[in-house]
Amino acid sequence: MGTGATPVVAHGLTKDFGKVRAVDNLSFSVEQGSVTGFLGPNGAGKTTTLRMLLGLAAPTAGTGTIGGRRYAELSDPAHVVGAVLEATSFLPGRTARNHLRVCCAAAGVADRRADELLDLVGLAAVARVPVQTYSLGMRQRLSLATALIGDPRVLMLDEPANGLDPQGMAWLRQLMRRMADAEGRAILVSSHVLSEVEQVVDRVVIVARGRLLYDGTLRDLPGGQEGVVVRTPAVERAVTALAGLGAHVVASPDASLMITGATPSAVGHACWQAGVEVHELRTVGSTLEQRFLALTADPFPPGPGR
Amino acid sequence: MRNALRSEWRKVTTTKLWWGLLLTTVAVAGVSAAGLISSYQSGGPPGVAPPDPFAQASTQRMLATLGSAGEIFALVYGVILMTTEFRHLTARPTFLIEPRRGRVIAAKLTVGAAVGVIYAIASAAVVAAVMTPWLGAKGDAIEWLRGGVLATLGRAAIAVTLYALLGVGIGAVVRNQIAAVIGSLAFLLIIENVFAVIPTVNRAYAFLPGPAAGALVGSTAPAIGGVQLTSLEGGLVCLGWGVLLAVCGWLVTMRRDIP
Repeated sequence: MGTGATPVVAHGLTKDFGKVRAVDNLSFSVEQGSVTGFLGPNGAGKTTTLRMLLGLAAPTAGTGTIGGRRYAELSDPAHVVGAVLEATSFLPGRTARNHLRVCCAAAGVADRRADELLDLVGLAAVARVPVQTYSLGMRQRLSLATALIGDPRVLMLDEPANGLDPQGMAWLRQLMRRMADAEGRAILVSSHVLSEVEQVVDRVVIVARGRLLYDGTLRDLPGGQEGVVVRTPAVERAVTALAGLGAHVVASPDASLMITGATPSAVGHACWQAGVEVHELRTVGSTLEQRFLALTADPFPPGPGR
Repeated sequence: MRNALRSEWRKVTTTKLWWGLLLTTVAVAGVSAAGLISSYQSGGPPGVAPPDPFAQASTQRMLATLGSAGEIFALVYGVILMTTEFRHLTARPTFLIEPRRGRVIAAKLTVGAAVGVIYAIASAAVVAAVMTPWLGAKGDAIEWLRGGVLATLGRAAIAVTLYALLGVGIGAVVRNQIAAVIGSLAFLLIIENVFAVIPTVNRAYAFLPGPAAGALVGSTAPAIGGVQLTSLEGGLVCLGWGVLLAVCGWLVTMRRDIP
């Protein structure tokens, strides 16, 4: 890879399937030595985007480059990019070891690499068993091994945590962190579940319905509807007391108030000053997951009549 | 290209299908040959030895054409070899590691043809193994060279190889495995015969892959539509179909997205 060239760049990537626009003018990049989460609900266009970056699908518009070059122009792609696209790309009757040896031959890599990788992903004991007997988690591990055949500097992993048990998930997170921090690889990891990648990513690219919604750190993710809930037997007096805060106050039937636009301490202070009895005071709607869901929510959810 | 070939060859040898269909191809050839010989064993008036047609070179050549009796299974193998990549999505790692798609198609065609050669030689060998001792026991001398029996076995082997190549081409054009297998069997077993019975249209019959392969091998068939190809013409027409399908498969693979 050229020195200084950004490992992965998507520039205005667009893909139409007939009349459906699966990916719409998507631009983002992945830096060396970092883990970038590629998040969005199912059907957001994540896999299609990866297929375009990897030269499997031709973009309707825009370009995707790896180290400054289009995938098809890479002379030895297995040593530059390793990719996993869903854990299903195996012949059921072929053993894991033979699957990797087929890939070793194609990439011009020594066959012993297959055994090294089986050790790395913890499949050495079942290396000579047909893949059809594998669990989803084992297939994920084999996919990861396939991506690592040429010891690439860039990894693109599509839903690699799907089907992994909690130990497997922790193992995957550690492996990704090590590959990014100690080995300086650039990793793009897609997921539709924020919590799977939340602990490991440096940055996130969030998409829904094919469009970019957010590109940045998780900490700066827009807060959505962060609010304060106050439960009180004196609802009317509390509303009056809080009026001076300039916040948005909504009373709900169960004798509680939902306040947005004011901090919990300001709300508590205003109630105390007015002598309003408070039974509960808590913040809501501020978890990452809730912010992610708020951001990616479908404005036209499927329902009756549609 | 060497890497692509090695990888494709490994794909063949790490599955059971290739020898499963090899056994089928060979069994069809061997059973057909045995059936033809034994069908002449009986008959004739009691007490009188039946006439033995296998003393003649022409009958021996007819027996040798059965070396291609299992050719359709070589074609099915070729179709499956290619369509498996799309059915099980192994096309993804394949084209990720070698994004020059033309090379992958070339390697696939080469390896498909190589497997075809194995099927072809095994089929010819089995027919020879059936006829040599059997006819020897009857006291018939097989006219391998002078009677053209060996040449006919060789042509049968070429037909089997070409069928494997046709299969890979079909698979590259029609990626859906079931559609490709059913479609090519339907074409060879039914649609070609429909061609034969429709007046005017049947002039094209001789140029279809099945009849062309028949002409190559020299199986005796009546001239349908007034056209009878020679062995060489039949072979070239069959090869032409293989090249046409390979080029179409290459074009499809270059232009269409990999799933």
